[in-house]
Amino acid sequence: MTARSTRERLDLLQGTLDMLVLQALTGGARHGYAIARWLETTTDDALSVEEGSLYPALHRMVGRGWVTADWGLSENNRRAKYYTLTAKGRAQLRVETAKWSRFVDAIALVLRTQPA
Amino acid sequence: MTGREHDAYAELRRLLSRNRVDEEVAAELEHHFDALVRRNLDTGMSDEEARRAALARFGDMDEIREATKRVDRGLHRRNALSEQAHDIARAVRHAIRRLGRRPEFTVFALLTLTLAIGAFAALFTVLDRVVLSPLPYAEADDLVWLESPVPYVGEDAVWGMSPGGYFDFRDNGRAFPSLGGFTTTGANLVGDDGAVRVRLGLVTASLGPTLALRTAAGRWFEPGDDGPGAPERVVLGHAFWRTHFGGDPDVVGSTIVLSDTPREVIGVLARGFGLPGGSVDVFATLKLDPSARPVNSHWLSVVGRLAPGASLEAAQADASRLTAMFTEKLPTAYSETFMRQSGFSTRVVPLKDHVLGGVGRTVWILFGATGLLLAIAVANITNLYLVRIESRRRDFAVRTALGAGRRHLVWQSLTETLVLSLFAGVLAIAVARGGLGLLIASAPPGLPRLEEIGLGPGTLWFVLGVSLLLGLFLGLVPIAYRAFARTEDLARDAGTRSTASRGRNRVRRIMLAGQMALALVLLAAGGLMLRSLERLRSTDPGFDSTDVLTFETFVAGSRYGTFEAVGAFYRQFLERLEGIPGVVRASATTRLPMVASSFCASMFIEDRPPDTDDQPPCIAVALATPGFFETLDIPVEGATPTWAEMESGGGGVVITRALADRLWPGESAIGKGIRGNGWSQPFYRVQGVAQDFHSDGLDRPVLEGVFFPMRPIEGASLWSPPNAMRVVIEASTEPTSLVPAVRQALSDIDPTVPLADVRGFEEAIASSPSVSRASFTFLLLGIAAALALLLSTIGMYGVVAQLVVERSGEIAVRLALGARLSQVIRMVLGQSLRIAVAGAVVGLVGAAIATRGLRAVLYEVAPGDPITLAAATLLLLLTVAAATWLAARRAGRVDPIRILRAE
Repeated sequence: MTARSTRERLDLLQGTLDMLVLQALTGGARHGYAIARWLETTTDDALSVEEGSLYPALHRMVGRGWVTADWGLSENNRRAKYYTLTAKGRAQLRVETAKWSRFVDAIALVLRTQPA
Repeated sequence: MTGREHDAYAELRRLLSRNRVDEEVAAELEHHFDALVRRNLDTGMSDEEARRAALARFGDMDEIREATKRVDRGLHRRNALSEQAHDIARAVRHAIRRLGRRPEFTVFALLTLTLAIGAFAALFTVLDRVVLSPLPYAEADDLVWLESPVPYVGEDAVWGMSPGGYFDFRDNGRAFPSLGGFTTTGANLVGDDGAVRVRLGLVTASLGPTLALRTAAGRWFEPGDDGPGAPERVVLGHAFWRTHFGGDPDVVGSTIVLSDTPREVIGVLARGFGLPGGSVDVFATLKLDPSARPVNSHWLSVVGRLAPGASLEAAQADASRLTAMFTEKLPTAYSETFMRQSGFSTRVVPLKDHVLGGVGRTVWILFGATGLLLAIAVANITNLYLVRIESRRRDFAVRTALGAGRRHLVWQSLTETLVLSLFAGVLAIAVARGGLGLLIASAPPGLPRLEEIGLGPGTLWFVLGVSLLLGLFLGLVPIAYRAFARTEDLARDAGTRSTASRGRNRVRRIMLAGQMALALVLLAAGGLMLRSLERLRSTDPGFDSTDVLTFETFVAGSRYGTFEAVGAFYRQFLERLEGIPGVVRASATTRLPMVASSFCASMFIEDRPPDTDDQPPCIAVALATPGFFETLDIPVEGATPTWAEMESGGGGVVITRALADRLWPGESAIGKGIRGNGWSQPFYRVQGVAQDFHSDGLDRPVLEGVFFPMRPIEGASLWSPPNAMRVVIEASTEPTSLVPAVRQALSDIDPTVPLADVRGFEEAIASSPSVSRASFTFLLLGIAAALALLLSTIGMYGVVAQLVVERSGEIAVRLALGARLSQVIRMVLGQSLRIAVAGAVVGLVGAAIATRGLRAVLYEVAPGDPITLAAATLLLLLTVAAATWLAARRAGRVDPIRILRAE
């Protein structure tokens, strides 16, 4: 298959999928497969996105108005559903990114500190 | 896009959306799968391998598809809901716009509905709270009241139980797992700002569990608190705790001084709890001794809690069994002779019925009256609505022909009436709130839990339900009425308009006649109450209440424990009062007509053997100071005892004329002997016979009573000293202007004695149960009757006015052929009066039947009283005739030339 074996892949932390998908769409409209692909290549296959969670998540985000979905033609002329980031989605991404940074900082601080 | 096209589109989308969701999700996932396969092929796999790897990577394809579709369907449902909300909002906007085009109809309908629903809701609230659940206790349906009819007096007078009987029921009863007893008295609480009179409830500790009383702080009494010699402890009532202790929970554990006795506060009752049917400020224990010698004295009020679901009949059977054994078990209290001659029995009554008494009936009557009013309002609006629809029939028919669905027209009609009725419901809540205020302010005494009444969720649901039903009813009437004509009706109607509408006119006339009938029932009821009230008011009470001030005083038994001490206090106090400028006379009594009643007792008459059958019944007794009859201007034949006679122990009694005639018919009562306990000498001598007066209510028989002196004569004891008395002051000025001087006089003599319930005597009589109940019922029935008359009149006017418009063709022909206007008006008048008379005939029958329900609240007027019915009928017909005449005059505005040309 791909460069790393399944064992070395990291499971996504609960609730981070939305943030990653939104980030994936900052580069422009993409369809589901492209989003999954981009996440895999960007992380050098460290993160894998399950299709089983990706599509329900995408459709939920449509309902929340973070992204819009339109049918279009893919690179090889096939009908595909393209997702586009909305202003609301962009704002959401900012919120989640900030939250994530605070979370990571806090965890790091704990791990750097020796209990007295 | 027009509204209807939009509707159709939304409908189509809703239908198709389910399939569309399935397809789109499938297509999207398919694309993803293909892309995976292609990538695998690029890495050099075979077709077969590429597909298998992609499938493996995907996992369960169906599960993914289902999970995604679930998300989409949720979204669709939400969309559909918001679309529906949008549709409704639009329909409501349209309905409001249509209603706004006819402001007279809308305002009238809104006002009528608001008043009718509001009044109905206010009465519903009272009914729900006061009549249907008059008790604040848990599982109140299992609670019973134990009472005994007072021997010889009649069914109305009842006693409680004797303590001996109570203990026997408690120990040997099978149907009464829990019993509690109480009595009420007064006490003085002396605080920093003077003395306050408090209502003291004396209870057994078992009353708490029996009534399921709850405390807000501290605890209720425990069994050890109510035995003989138990420590002095009290529990405060919630309202009293709030007003006198500012709701301070720290009061528990402190000590208060009640009537000179220090008592520890151990708890505060929870809000709304108290004794059944009476408000009490402070509770203390009775300290009954089960081993005391039982006596025949039935002062203890007893409530019992039956086992859950146990029947009243079983409890009554058990009570009868126990009572039958009294002679055996309590021989000192219940002799064979007493039981045989008095037919003594113990009755088990639902506590609810005991607390409500006859008041429940009054509330039901008023609820019924507001229900009738609502029916009139609905009939009225229906009629006006039909008149409107009639004028739009052609419009409807044309629109139907042009393809507007009947369903759409019904929907329009429904939204219109629902908007109207729901808006009226909202306004009605304000009316109900105001109405409740009026009800509470004018309510007669004896309505339990009245102070707790408020608009609760129950009332709001009730208003919502009534409004919805009315809206649906009004909106669907046009269907029953076949107003939304089919196309073929159009052609038929165009030719023969006047005959085709005849059937529909009949519906309207029946509605109108029905309205008249209902209005007559209400008018008759209001008229009967008015006559009752007038009879009650014109009843001569037998005493003069003008310019009389009255208040209650209570001297604590700890300071005033003897007749001598109490008598000396009142003599000094009354003499001080008579020294105040403006005071003509002052006196005191334990029984003040219409205001304060005292107890009754068996009387023994000199030279009348004990075994005769006309045993002395329980006779009303009272104590009075000299000057009592003079203060109230009650003429007395003979003499009244003086202070000098009383203080030397030689005071005689004054009895009422009615009692004198009963005990000594045909001879003078003066000088006869009477006493309260046994036939031994000495007897009290009858010194005077007072002219008859009413005491228990203007609608009750005159008093048969004995007024004893303030001090017993040697050898003939007089129960206990009269610590609580009602003072009456006859004034030569405005009575209430004397209050400050009276207060001063009292505090000069003894600052620990409170002045309570200070009122003008006339005001006190007006608020006494017999008078205030009649005026309350009259006030509300009168309002309902007046509204009914008003609505019927407006209804008649509207229908007649429409009639004139409809028949303008006929009228024009008649006028053109030389008929005079007065003839035409007479024709219209005659027609509408026929409707009114038909309604009145039905109404008379209805009134004769319905007013029977009033029998219990009427005084000296029969339910079917012909004069009242005739007056009510006349009033209705005259008012309606006036309205008709006003409307019929519009016929004069018919211009024959123009109308005939248009035809």
